Amino acid sequence: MTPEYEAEYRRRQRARAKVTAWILGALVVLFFGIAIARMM
Amino acid sequence: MTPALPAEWRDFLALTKPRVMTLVVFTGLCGLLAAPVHIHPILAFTAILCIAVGAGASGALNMWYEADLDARMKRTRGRPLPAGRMDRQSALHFGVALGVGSVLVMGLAINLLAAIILAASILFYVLIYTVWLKRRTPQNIVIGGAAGAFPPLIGWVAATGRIELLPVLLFLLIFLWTPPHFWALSLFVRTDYAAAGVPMLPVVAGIQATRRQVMLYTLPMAAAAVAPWPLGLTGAIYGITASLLTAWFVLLAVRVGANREPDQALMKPERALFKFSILYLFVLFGALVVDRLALA
Repeated sequence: MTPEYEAEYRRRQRARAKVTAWILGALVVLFFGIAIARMM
Repeated sequence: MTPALPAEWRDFLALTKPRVMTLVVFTGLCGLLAAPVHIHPILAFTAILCIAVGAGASGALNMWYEADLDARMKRTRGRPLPAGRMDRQSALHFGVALGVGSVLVMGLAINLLAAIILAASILFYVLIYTVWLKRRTPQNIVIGGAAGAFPPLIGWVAATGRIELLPVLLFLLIFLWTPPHFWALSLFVRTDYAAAGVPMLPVVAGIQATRRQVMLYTLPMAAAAVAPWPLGLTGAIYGITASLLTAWFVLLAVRVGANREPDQALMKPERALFKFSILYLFVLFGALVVDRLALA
């Protein structure tokens, strides 16, 4: 594995991890909102 | 051995066919807004999100199954799977996760009936259209069109919990709109479909037969589009808009029917109908919401 290849590999992994974290965060907020809305 | 590069997140997004999703979200939202009941904004947002994610799941599973077909068509060979930017298993897992997730959330947060119809629409698109019909019959998009017709029905059921006549007519409208819309497109990209071995109507039955079918399907579509007004389900805003737009749609379809041009690069009436058909659905559903809100 060349250093350029490894750098690209890590960059893609980081980008995917970041997007996954945002989606999970958004889902937490959404599920909290749903719980509140259904109680009203 | 060098491990394969992980797919970019943008390629996962591309699997969901965001452009198709736009129309799905719009018609689903219109179905929800046209319903005669109030739904909490967070639940409305959740319902639309589930419809969008469900449509994304259908798109991803479609691309997973059709990777070989996509590779043979100019229009689709740049997609993540045929372009080699993603492995098939990732696409399958992604599609299944989106599908299961969207149905579960719809069932738990909104209502069971909406979840069942959402699940049916995903399964219909993937199993009936993609796996079963698309490569076997030139009537593929007639029956497959039902999958794209579900969103306004799901939106309505998400709000009311019931199936009623108006959302069924909206379902019928999209179902009958799909053949003229897709056959107009397939007429001017038919060499692409022929190269891929997809039995689209122009490839199997010929150009003139397809043009006749475009005209034939436009007539019941026109009836379904205008019907809500005389049936008293909508007011004049929708009725007049639907009548005018549908008259123009019929005129464009007649022009397609009368066209004798065999060169697909010169098929102006077909291109005009295809472009207008997209605008038609957006404006019609927009008018429906305005009309229903005005009535309310």
